[in-house]
Amino acid sequence: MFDINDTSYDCRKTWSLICDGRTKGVFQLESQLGRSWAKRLKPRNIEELAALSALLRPGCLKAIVDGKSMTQHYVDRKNGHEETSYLDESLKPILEPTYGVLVYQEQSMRIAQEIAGFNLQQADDLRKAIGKKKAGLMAEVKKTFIRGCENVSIVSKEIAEEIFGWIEKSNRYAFNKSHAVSYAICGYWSAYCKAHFPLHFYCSYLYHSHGKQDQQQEVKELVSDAKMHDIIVMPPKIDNLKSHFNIKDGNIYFGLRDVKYIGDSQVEKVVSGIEEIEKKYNQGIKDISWYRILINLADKVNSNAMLALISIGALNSDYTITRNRMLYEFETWSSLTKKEKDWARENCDDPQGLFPERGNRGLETTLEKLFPTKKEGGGTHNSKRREIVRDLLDLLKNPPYELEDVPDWIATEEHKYLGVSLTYSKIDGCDTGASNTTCKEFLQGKPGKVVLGVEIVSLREWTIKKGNSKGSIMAFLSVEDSTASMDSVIIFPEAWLKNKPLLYAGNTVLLSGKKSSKDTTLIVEKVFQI
Amino acid sequence: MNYRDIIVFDFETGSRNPAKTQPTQIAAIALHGRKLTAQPGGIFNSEIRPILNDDKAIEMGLDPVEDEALDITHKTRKELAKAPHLKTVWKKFGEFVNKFNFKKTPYFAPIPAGYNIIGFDLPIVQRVCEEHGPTDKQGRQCLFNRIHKVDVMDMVWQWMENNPDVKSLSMDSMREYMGFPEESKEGAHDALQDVKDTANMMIRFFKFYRSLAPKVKFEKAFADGNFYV
Repeated sequence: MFDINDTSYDCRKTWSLICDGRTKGVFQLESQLGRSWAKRLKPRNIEELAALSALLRPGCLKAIVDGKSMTQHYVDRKNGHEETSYLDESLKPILEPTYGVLVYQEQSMRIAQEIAGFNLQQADDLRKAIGKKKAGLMAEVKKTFIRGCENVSIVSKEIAEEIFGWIEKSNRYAFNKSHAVSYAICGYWSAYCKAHFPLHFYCSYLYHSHGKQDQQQEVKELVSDAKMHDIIVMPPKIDNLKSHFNIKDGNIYFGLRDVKYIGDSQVEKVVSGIEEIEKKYNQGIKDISWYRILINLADKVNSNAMLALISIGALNSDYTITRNRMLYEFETWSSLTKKEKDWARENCDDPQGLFPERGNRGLETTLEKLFPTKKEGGGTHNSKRREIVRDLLDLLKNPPYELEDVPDWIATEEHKYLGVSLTYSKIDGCDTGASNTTCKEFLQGKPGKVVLGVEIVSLREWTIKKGNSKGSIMAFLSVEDSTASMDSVIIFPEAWLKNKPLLYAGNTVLLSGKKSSKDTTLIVEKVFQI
Repeated sequence: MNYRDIIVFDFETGSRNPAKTQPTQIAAIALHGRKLTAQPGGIFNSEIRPILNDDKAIEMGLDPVEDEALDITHKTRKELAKAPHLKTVWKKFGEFVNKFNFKKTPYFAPIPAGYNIIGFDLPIVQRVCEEHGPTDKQGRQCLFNRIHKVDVMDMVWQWMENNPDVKSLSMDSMREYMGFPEESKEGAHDALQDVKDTANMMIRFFKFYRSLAPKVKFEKAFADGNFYV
């Protein structure tokens, strides 16, 4: 039995996951910001992870000193790109663990204790004065601080004033260390689970995605991230219709409650309906034909739920019939009256196998038998209904439009009902012969010039505010293919102008470009329609 | 701007008055609004059984099916008697159109397109929608987009109005003038062939407009104060 308290804090796999920025779902580091700074800061222990969660706060990111944010100073110093310096050497023991950056409120308190001789109560008063921004209290504490520094005589009065000013400014960003360490431990635990039990990790996060502000976006990001870890998330399947996200045979399956237009009451009806069908035919649902599922389930659940289930492939007991054909047959079945449906169930089905001529018939055969009036030996009540059912039969035999499932359609329908395309991506229906890599391979570091076949998920234009290109427009794209999503794609002004007509959400294109020298950002040079 | 798919459609009918005519065939082809390519599974084609009893048709306020119309559309009464009724076909057509309404709201309904649809086919759509749905509270059809419509005959007129080589704006003349292959001419007045030819013409015009658009500046076009009227 796994106990989170037994985890060691030196797991290489866990720290690699954090350092690589694969932290979607990791506590405090799951945002794009968290992922990108985790990659830059590369924490290797709880102390550094705690600093990261403190440095990720807006205060630190916005506190600019010498043209750089405090967060950037920390990262540069940690990675040896900037020399670590101290306002006074006496501060070194206190600030050394954070590379000279005043990250925590506790550090301010310790400075006051060391160089101004504050006791714990006074140090706490200092913290409160800074935190609550009370001018009167602040002035009073400052006097005490300077006087204390003079008495202790570790630093001069000028340095003491400078240090106090520095502490005062830190109120914009300094964080509570005990809080940061708790965050770091929780973050490490969640990263540990992700590294060691990815299947259960993703299933659990998907299960709790409804608690997020934008559930659809959360599910989309988790599914995409799961793909990067070779974990497949699938739509509900006929023989695995559960309420919630669940694991079966090494894959994660959507639950019925996670499908749009299927409410709680419908979930119960679907599950009990399937159970009744299995009982009626004394077979597992996977061995029961679509026709039998249709005539027995369609009237027990509401129409929207049926449309959703069919569209996402949740009612495919075998794959000889397309989802479009099933939708078409469902619409046809729904056009029959209740009495006609009852007649069909009674006369065109044989659950016990007593009348082989009734057998397991398809809808076409049923309508053929049904359309004559009762007097003529059929199941319709009058000539008007006979004509209508005969029309339905004709249109079932010769549908006026194609009932094939194409990847683009499946991707669109799954996106509509599940918030994410699982079986196919839109790109699967396109000719991507000219591409030389996939999103996943690119993110894993494929070098050189790349050509990617992708769907543009979203696009954000940005007007450049500085430099030679001031006023020009560039764009940031989020793209995806069936292997992964990439939200770090940049197109600079020249390429943007040339390719603007092709760049819109929903379009499928080939992007030709190269990887940025710093990270896994794709810099697009050319765009081709596919 | 948001884009919608475009559905090029055409009715073959039993007479010429859109207010009373009976459809005998409907065909449509769905195009991707931005790519202008045929959507997968985007072709609809069905014959429709009209009321073939002339007295009954008149009694119902409809025109009887004219033999001349049947000749033009290469249909026989016997064949049409086997076709499904308008109500059933219309329901299927509604399902088909709805497939390309990607947000399933009237605002995102596909844009209707066709040849002479403003004068002929769209009034039929309105009439059939009033009878079989869908309509909104005001009784207006809500199968297709109500704001935009593309009548390819208008496009042709705008470009050919001063062209003496164009005999008329009829579909047959345009097929001839634009060099459509023989099979197109042979299939003329089959709704599906007409729809394909119309779609090809429209795509050609659209691609031309789109290539021109970046080169033409409409922004502040009247800022100089020079008005025509």
